[in-house]
Amino acid sequence: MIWINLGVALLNLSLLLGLVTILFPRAGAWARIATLAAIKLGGVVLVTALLVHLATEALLSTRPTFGPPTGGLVPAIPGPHISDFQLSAGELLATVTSAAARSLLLLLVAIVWGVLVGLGAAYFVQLRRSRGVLLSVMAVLAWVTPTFLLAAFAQEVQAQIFNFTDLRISGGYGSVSAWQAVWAGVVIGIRPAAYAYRQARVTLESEAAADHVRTALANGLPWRAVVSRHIMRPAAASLVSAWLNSFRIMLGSLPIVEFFFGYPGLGQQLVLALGVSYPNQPGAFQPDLVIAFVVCLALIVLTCEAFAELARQRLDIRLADLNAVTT
Amino acid sequence: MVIGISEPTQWSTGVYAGGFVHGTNREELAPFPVMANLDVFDMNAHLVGHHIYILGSDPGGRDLLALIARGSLPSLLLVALVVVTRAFVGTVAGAMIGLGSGLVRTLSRDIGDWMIGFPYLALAILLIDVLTPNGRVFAFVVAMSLIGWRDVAEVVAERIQYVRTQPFAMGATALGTGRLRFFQLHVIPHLRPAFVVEVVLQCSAVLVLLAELGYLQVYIGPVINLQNGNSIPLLVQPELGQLLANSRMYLLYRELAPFLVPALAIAVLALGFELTGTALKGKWRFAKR
Repeated sequence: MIWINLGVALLNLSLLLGLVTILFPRAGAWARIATLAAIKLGGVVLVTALLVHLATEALLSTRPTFGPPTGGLVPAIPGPHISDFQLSAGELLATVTSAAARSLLLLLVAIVWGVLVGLGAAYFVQLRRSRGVLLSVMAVLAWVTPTFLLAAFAQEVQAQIFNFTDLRISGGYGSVSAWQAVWAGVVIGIRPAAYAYRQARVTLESEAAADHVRTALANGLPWRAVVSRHIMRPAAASLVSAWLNSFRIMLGSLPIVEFFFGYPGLGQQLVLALGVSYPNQPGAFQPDLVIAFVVCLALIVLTCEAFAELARQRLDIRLADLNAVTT
Repeated sequence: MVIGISEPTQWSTGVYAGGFVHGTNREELAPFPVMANLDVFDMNAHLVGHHIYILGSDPGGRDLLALIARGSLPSLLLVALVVVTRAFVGTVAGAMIGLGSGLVRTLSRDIGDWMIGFPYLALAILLIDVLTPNGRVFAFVVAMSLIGWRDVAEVVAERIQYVRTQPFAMGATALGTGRLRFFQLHVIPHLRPAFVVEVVLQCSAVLVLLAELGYLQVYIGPVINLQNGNSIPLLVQPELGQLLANSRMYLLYRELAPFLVPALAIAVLALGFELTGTALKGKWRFAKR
C-alpha cells in the first residue's frame, strides 16, 4: 500500500508542478522537466507495484514442470519462493541507499571511461578525417558481444595476470573494493562506449556534410577549427542524446555485471530480489525490495534525463538563438 | 548448424557419464573437451557408441554442436516472433507519433519515453513471471516485445515526419489525399529501407537480450537435474538462452567450452544480423546518392 501512496503522491506533485509551469511560464525549463520526471516516476512506482503484485500471484499459482527422474536425474530446484520477510521502511531505505551508493561508484567509472572512449574516439576519427574502419569493426564486435561474455573475458584476464605476475588485481569476488569497481565499471562501459561511438560517428558525419561546414572550409579555416567550432558545436545536443541512450544501456547491463562479479550493488540486489539465484541456492522473490530497487534505478535514469535535457537546451545553438531572439 | 542437426538425436538428448578415448583405455568424464574422440558410456556404464565431440559436451555428455544446432531453431523462431511483434507495435506507435494529432503524438511519444525509464531486464523478468500462466513462449514474446518497440517507433516517426516536410507531401495534402493513401503512396517507399535495416538490427538486439535472460536463468522450457556431487540442471529441449543458464557454474569449475560455445554462437548470430543491417544501410545510402 505504501507504494501506491508514493505513486499517487508523485502524480499529485507532478500536477502541482504542472500548475506552476502554467501559472508562471517563466519558471524555467527545470519546472517542466521536474513535472515530467514526477509523472514518469509516479507511473514507474504504480506500474511496478502492479506488476510485482501480479508476479507474486503468478508465482504462487505456477510451479515449473520437470522431466521424469531416471538414473541420476532428479527434478530441478523448485522455482523462487515468495519471501514473506518484511523489511521496515527504514531498513528498506538503508538497503537501497547503500546498494545505490555502490552502484553509482561503478556507473561513475563506466560513464567516465565510456564517454572518453566512445565520444573521444568519434571526435578523433573526425579530426583525422579518416573512416575509422578498425574502430567501427571493434565497435560492432563489442556491441554484439553479450555483456556477461565480456565479464567472463575480464575475469580470464585477471586470472592470467595473476598466473604470470602473482598480482591480485581482481579486487576480491563479492566484495566492494576499488579494483572490483574498476573491473566491473570497465565491463559495464564497453557496450555503451561502442554505442556512443557509432551514434556519434553518424551525427558528426551528417554535420560534416552540412553547407556551413563547406563554407567554413572555403573561407580557409583549418580543419581542426572547423571540427571544434562548426561540427562539434551544432552536434553537441545530439551527442548528449547519444550519451543518454548509452547511459540507459549501461544501466540495463548493470544487473548482469554486478551479478557476475558478485558486486552487492543495485543491479545484483535487484536480480536476487527477483528470485534469480547463484548455483545451488534457492531464489526468493522479495516484492518490496523489487519495487524499491526498480524505483531507485528509474530515479537515476530520470535524474540523468533531466540533466541531459537541460544540457541539450543549453547546447542546442538553434534553441539558444531562439531564446536570444525572444528575450 | 547443418553438421549439428545431421547428428543423431541421441547425442543431444541422452545423458552420458563418460567415455574411453577411442582406441585406448584412457577414461574421460563429462564434460568432454573440444574434438574429443570417444567410445561413450551412459550413467549405468553401458557402452553406447563412438562419437566425435567437435565442440565438446555439456556436463551431461551431450554434444554441444548438436545442442546449439537444435537449440538455434526455437531461439531463432522466438527472435522472429519478438521482432515481428516489435515491428508491428513500433509501426503503429510510430505512425501515431508521425501522423496523429498533437495529443496522440505527445501521448505516444511520452509512453515510449516513460517505458525506457524502467530497467529493461527487471521489466522483462517481471513480465515473464506475470504472463507465464498463459504459456512460457507467449510470456517471452510479450515481455521482450514490450521493452524494444520504441526504437522501431522512433525510426517510423522520424521517416514520416521527414516525408511530411517535403514539398511533394505538402502538394499531396493540398490535393486532399487521405492519411491512409498518403501513408501508402508517399511514406512507405521512404520508410521501407530504414525500417528493414532497423528490423534486422532488432534481431541482434533480441538475441543478445535472450542470452542475457538465459544467463540470469530465465529461459523457455523445463529442466532436469543431474546429481553429480553438485546439482547440475540439464535441458530437456535445447534453446540458446537456456544453454547459458549454467554459465556461472561452468566458469566456477573452469569448464569453458559449455559456457563459451553457446555464448559465442549467439555473438556470431548477432554479428551476422548486425553485418546484414550495416550492409543494407550502406547499399541504400549508396543508391540514394
